[in-house]
Amino acid sequence: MQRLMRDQPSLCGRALLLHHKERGVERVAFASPAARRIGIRSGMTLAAAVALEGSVLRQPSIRAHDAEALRALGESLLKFGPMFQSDGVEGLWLDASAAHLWGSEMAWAQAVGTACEGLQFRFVVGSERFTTQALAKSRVQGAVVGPRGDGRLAAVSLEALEEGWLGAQEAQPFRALGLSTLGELAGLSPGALVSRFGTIGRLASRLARGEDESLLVADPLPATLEETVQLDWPAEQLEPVLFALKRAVDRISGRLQGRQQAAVRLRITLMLDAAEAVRVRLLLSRPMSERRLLLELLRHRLTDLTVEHPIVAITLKVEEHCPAPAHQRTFGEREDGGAALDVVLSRLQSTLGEEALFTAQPQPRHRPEASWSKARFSPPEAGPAASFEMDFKKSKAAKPAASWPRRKSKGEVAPTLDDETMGTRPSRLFQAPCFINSQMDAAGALVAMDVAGRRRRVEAIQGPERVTGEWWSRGYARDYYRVQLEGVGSVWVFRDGRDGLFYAQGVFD
Amino acid sequence: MYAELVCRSNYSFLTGASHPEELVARAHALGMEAIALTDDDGLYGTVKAHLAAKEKGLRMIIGARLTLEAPLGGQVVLCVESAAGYANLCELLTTSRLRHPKGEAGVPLGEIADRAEGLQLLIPKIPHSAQSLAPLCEAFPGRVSVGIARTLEAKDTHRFQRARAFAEKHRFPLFAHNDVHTHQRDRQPLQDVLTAIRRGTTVDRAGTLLFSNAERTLKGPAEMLALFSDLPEALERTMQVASACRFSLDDLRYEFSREALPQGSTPQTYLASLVHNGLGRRYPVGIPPEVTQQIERELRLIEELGYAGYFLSMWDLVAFARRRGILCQGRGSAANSAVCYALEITSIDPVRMGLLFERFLSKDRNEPPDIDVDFEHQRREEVIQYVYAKHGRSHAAMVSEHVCFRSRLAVREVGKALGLSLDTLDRLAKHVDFNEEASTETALRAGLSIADPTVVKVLALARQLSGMPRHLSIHVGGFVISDNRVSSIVPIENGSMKHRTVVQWDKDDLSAVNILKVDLLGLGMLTVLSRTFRLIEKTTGQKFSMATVPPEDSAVYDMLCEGDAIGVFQVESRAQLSMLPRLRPRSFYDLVIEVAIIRPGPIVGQMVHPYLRRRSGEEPVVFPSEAVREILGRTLGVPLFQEQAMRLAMVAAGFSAGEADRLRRALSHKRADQLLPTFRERFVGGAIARGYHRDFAEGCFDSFKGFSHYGFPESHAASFALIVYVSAWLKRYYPAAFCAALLDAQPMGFYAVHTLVEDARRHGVEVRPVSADASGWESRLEIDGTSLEAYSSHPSEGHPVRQPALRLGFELVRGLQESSVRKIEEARRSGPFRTVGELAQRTRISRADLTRLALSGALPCPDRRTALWDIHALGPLDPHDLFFGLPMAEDRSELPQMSRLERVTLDYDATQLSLEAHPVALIRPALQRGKAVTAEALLAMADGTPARMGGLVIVRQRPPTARGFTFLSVEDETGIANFVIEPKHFLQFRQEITMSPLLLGEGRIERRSKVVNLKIQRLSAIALSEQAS
Repeated sequence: MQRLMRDQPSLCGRALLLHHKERGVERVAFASPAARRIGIRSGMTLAAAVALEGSVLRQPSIRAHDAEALRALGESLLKFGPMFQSDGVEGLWLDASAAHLWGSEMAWAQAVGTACEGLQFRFVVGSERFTTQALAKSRVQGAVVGPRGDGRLAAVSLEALEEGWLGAQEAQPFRALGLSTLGELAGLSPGALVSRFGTIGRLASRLARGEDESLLVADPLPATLEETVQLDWPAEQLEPVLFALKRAVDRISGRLQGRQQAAVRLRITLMLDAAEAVRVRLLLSRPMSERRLLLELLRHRLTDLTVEHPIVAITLKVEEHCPAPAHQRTFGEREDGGAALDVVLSRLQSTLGEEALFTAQPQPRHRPEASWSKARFSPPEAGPAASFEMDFKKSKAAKPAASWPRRKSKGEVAPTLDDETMGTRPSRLFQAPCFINSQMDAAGALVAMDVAGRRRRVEAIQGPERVTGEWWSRGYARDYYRVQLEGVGSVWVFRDGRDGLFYAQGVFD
Repeated sequence: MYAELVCRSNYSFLTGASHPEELVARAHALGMEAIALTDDDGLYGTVKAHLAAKEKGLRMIIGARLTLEAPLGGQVVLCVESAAGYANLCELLTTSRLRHPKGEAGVPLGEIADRAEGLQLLIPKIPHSAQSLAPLCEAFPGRVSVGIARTLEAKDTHRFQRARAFAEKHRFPLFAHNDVHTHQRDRQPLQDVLTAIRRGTTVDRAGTLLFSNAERTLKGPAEMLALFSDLPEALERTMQVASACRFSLDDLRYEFSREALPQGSTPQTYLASLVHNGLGRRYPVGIPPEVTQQIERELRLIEELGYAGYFLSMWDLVAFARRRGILCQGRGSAANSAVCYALEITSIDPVRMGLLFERFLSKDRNEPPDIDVDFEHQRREEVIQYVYAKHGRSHAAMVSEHVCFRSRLAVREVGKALGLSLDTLDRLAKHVDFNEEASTETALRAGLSIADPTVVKVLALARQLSGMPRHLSIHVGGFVISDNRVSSIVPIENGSMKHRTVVQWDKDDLSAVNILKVDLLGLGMLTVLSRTFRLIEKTTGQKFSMATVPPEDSAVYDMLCEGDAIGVFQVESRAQLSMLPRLRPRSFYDLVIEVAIIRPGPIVGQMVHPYLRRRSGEEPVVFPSEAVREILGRTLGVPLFQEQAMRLAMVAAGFSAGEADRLRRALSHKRADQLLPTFRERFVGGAIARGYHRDFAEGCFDSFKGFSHYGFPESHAASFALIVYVSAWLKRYYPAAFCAALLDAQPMGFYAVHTLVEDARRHGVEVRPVSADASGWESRLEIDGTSLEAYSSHPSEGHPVRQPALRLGFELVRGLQESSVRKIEEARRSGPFRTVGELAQRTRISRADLTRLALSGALPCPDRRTALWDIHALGPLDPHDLFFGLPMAEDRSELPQMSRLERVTLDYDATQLSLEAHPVALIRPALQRGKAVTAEALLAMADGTPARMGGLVIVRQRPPTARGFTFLSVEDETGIANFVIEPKHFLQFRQEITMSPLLLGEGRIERRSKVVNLKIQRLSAIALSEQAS
């Protein structure tokens, strides 16, 4: 919520809620103070919240993004300590071993706070992880505590044991015994607790007394591969940009190869002098990490690019990568393999747009224009020894990510396509139906149609096939005919039930 | 011409989208000659279609789609030509269903071939393994047809080619059909929704699982001729098949099962001898002549109609129950029969009560008699299994119930199919009232926008879906018993309950085709009475039965006049508790009226207030003639019972007995508005002709209209009144035993166990908590070292006998296993338990059950937390462990003490009640600070006084007859108060009323004699917290 408010200051003071899905039900995860004032609370269903106030602003809360943002914050705070550990999506432990450089723990903590750029937070500096977390969560602000929490843990609620330590289920027996604070738990004999609850009892007893042996475990750094190169001066020509790009590609390539990874999708961000950015994406036709090839492809993408201001920096980010495919080169095969094809595909993408390259995937839908979908185009694998046909078969077998089936709910039966229907469809289907001027006789029979500026006589007609449906959204009702048009061939047309006009949908070869 | 031969109704569950009646009506409107109903693996909708077709004059062909056994799969349609064919079809469907779990079916080809006689075989769609059908077809020489459907789909041509190739190869004729799923095209959206529900998906994800168009619908002859202009012979074939299928359900022959008779007896003579023996027992001092007369009249009619076997079967069932010591009693219109009384099927003397026999059985009425018998609900299964054992599964089956979508479920299912989010759906469904249709009002109440097209579609489709059959269930107690095989009359299938088989028709269908059913019903109160009698005998040695309970005890009536009737059969509801002090019953017949008057019929007919005014002397009772006085005298001139309407029609307007019964049925018909004008004219005309004033005649007839709503016949009310009296007598004199029996019979009645226990305590019963050392599974009575004499003084002295203490049973402990309780009882024989460890060691019950006992306070421990602490110390509780259950030696740790609120809350969680305090007592200080009074204080307040009262909501009611008023029964530590909420306030405080267990009500007192209500103006939820106390 704080991040959102910081990014979009216009949201401040407005009723806003973040929601997430919990066992199939959308629930409120966080509510802004304005939303809380009208009765919206965390945990209530989204429908109930909207029923309370229809105009409340809604944003999905994605835990993973929040955690990522928190880790980014942790990374940004690394100048205050050698490592950090994130605590869910609500808190961070920072290694305070360098606090003496700021004069005192308190001064260090305040400096950390300043670096958080306006985010609201509470901090506790202590020797044990559990103690610091429990006190911070129990609304203690700005404390530096000694060993065992200086006795301040006694009043802390038993809830402190749950998240990340025991879990709600393990803590339940303590609640059933009427224990509500850590102090009450600490008052019980450790031996009695161990004999009853085993390791859980021991851990609970120790934590309640402020004895936490757990170590700070540094969060691993993000796996994002990104390199930024600042240009020495704003560049107006391609050459210095390519020079900087080469540095970035060298580093990225090295890192990829070191990890035995290959890039699948890249993004170049060109920071312009006018504080603008131009982003160019490059979807590789096959995973690769070879610097020469990568640079070649990137060069091709940038060659056709026109920017309005000088470029000041360039960021190369590997948006998607995968384990590098092992490929045994054959005798005489060059290191860059099918570079020529990759270059062609890259140029096609540059010229026609990224979306222009796709494979049509059949979809089990009755509406003809919805009966196929775009899937990622997978060209044949490189290698002079492999025939195109063989590779094409392989690429068909590989399931493109875009067409992976959605996870089915329990008991759900997936629709399928049947060959009998597929056999009646034209070999060339238009992306969308197009109006076609037609002429009918007195009996309402179709006699001619205008194609390519000429009136064509209907030589034969077959149909209708009636297709109706999707009444829940944009319903349709069509009578399809296969029409043999003079001088054109066989065309698939339909008469729309709503306006009575004819539209062409495809052509039979 | 054309007849549709392949047609699914909504009895092809979640597939067809039209009612059978809709299909018939549409077929008639389209000018078809005939229509076949061919639902999947059943004849569920056949009777409804048959009745509708009869009404329209359309010929209905009986048929079904049979699923072929795997691995062949696919379906064929069989249509019935003759009675033999019908029996064969029923047997095939029975075989198919009984061999598979509920909801599944499959029959081998060989069995179809064996039962081919009298059936037409239609192959609507050629399966992939078409050649395997060839041997089956040989069993139907000249009676095989191959179907072609032109539903304007891409596959039409391909399917047609396959069908034609198969037909030409085997020289079978082709027939045209539409594979009908809807009666008209605009029902297709609902059919799509049903498909999505059946397939567990949403309509937008269903894709090609849905039909590609709406052409699977009924089409008229002209449209079919246009579609099949190239194949007129395919249309002609439909007519040939239709003309061959002449069987109608009117030709169905059914005979009730014959009992084993003594040598030389016929059913009639045996029945007569049993009746005469029974009369000797019923009238030990001599049979009154009017009884003899009535018996002779009834026996004559029974002989004439051939129902002797039916009465003998009922007698046999009741005799079996009595042999087993199962309490039972006939109810309903059977109590009008002196024969039933003599056979001890019913307990009310119809002659002494002046009940009308024609209400039960009439020659003019083409309807079988209906004998319903109540048995102790916990032992009814014994009687059911007796029926199966005696007649066999092929000759006896239970009646089914066609469970239909109700508004709420319809909204839920349609919403899911249209992809509404679960939370939105939940909210919308929760705001659909039980007995109302989903409407835009509903959406507004749920806070949803009615401009949202999805919401609008959900509401519209839910309205269509509401009332459509969803699945088959088992009727509460109906049985079909037949002399010939039931499975040759109606298909039988497995019920959802183990060891139950059910017929595919519901009770209305059976009645429509004159098939007798017997109703073996379970009645919780009979279980209570039986157990109370046993407890009394055990603790006092006195034996009582329903027949020996002292009649007309004034102390019992005094109690009822005070509205003190919680737990008493039928008169414990909020409305009845309010009525008792106003009606002030002083005799058995008053109880008959009390039972009958709070029903929708008398309420809507506006009979309640005139009756009360006349009873209290505020209004004179005038009769236009002596004959009318004889009929209406007992109800002070107000016709409260259907029998009175019938008698008035006969005496005052000259109706015959049959006409009078037709009037009764017209009154309760769903189209009463259309049927009644003719009867009204006849009644008013007849009454005037007999010298009655027009105002009287019209007034009488108008009050009859109330009978179109639910009401009790007098005989039924009398049967129930007997149970009312006996249960009230037991509550009055043996409240401890009565309460114990009520607790053991739960769930039943209106009230939760805490209310029943609170009521018993208010009646001086000492209630003791669940205890490992004293409790059994069921609640029991405890006598503390005093002689039995003290407890067994006879109640006729006018005051209750000394009450034993009531020890609560383990069954109240939530989740506790009965097997664990048996172990505790076994271990307890060797002495009381001293510690938790000892109990664990001696009983070896699970930790979960030990914990449940600890939480309920049943363990030998000073407090519950210590008990839990001790249980945790017992180690792993492994029965094979040498040290199982041995506690370890250690210093006792101090656990926080439980507050009173915590104890009471835990009591409710663990045992549904608290003996320590009423929850409202805990927040009394806060209530007092808010100037709220107790329920007891409320009773003493004057009419019109403003008042506040807070308590636990124990009953919420919004009866359809109350014009939107809502009634709450609110309990506190002193008693129960009534809140009356006007519709506008209901809307204002709907959330609080439906969601909050504790409410604070504010309003004005409404007092009518001893009936006090708080008419609510404001409601608020109360939180149960330490702060509040």
